[in-house]
Amino acid sequence: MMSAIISHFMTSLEQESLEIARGLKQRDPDLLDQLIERYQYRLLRYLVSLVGGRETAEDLFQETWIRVLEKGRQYNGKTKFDAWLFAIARHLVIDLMRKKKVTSLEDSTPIDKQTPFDIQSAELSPFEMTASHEEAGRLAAALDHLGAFHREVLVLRFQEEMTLEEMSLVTGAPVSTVKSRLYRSLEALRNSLEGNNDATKRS
Amino acid sequence: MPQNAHERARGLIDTLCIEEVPRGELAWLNSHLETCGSCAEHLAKAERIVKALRSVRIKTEETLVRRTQLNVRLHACQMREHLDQVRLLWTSCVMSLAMTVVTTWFLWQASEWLARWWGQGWLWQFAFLTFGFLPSVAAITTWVWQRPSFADHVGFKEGVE
Repeated sequence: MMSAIISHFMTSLEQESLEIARGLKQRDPDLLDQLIERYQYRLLRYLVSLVGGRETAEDLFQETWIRVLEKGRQYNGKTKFDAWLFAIARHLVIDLMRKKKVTSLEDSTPIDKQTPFDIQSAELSPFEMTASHEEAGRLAAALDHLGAFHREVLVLRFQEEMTLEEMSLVTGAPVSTVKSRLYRSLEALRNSLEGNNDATKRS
Repeated sequence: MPQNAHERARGLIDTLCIEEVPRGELAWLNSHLETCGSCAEHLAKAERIVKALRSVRIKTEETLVRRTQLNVRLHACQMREHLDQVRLLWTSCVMSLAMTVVTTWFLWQASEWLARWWGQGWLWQFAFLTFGFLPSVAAITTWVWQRPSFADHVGFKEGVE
């Protein structure tokens, strides 16, 4: 029963990808409007994680969709649209970094210095909100200290919930490389958080 | 407890965050965590980090979305106009070529008859070829020279030298 549901779900995902591919080939403006609306949050979050700031991320957000319009005919619907979209965004970030003479995401420091992430609190008690704010603040500071290289894989895995294969499509790296980057990024984040905790305790 | 057991446990905890762990390994890890406080703490930290990562949020703005949609539509219009111009240009070229092929034979015949009538065969053929191809040669030369990439490339080379 479960496998039938999963199979049906996968088929409708594939169908949706093919419809998007068809619409992009025709440069359907209504489809593009819908896609911009649907992926606004996820794409902006990914771009912010790569460039480290809001302003540049917003410029790249617009640039990404223009590139989607121009290159839409290259999307064949055989892969998930979000992986293709994120790959385009990634290339634009790399182009921008090349202009700023940064050789790869591994070497990059945030392009914008502002803290990009806002802290969201759901329905929490005041104590929980305070604790949540503090925790999120520590995490945001720790993420800020990581390179774009590390932030990218963490965002793709834990926020976008992408599989390793999908991440491989986005980053253009083999699955094994993506896996080892994830291990290193988690380690780096852990060390960064522990470093922040030690600094907080000393102060 | 041997050090490599802790290392194995921490490795498995990191793996759990990233991908599925085989059942046998998972069972071993669970039994290890029951007796090892530090590894249990490591697992708790890892879970907190993953939970915090998943809860990080970002605000989006309606104005950004509207601006983007408008820019994309504008760009789509520009692309359509450019495509129409390119199509018109190609259609003109094809028609021009077809007309040239059709009329050239007639013109050649006419000039050959004139040449025979005047007794100056080679002159009329030479004049026909020159005046026939001269406009095309001039147009192509002008187009190639006016193309920005070509002009800039030549200019760049001259600057370097």
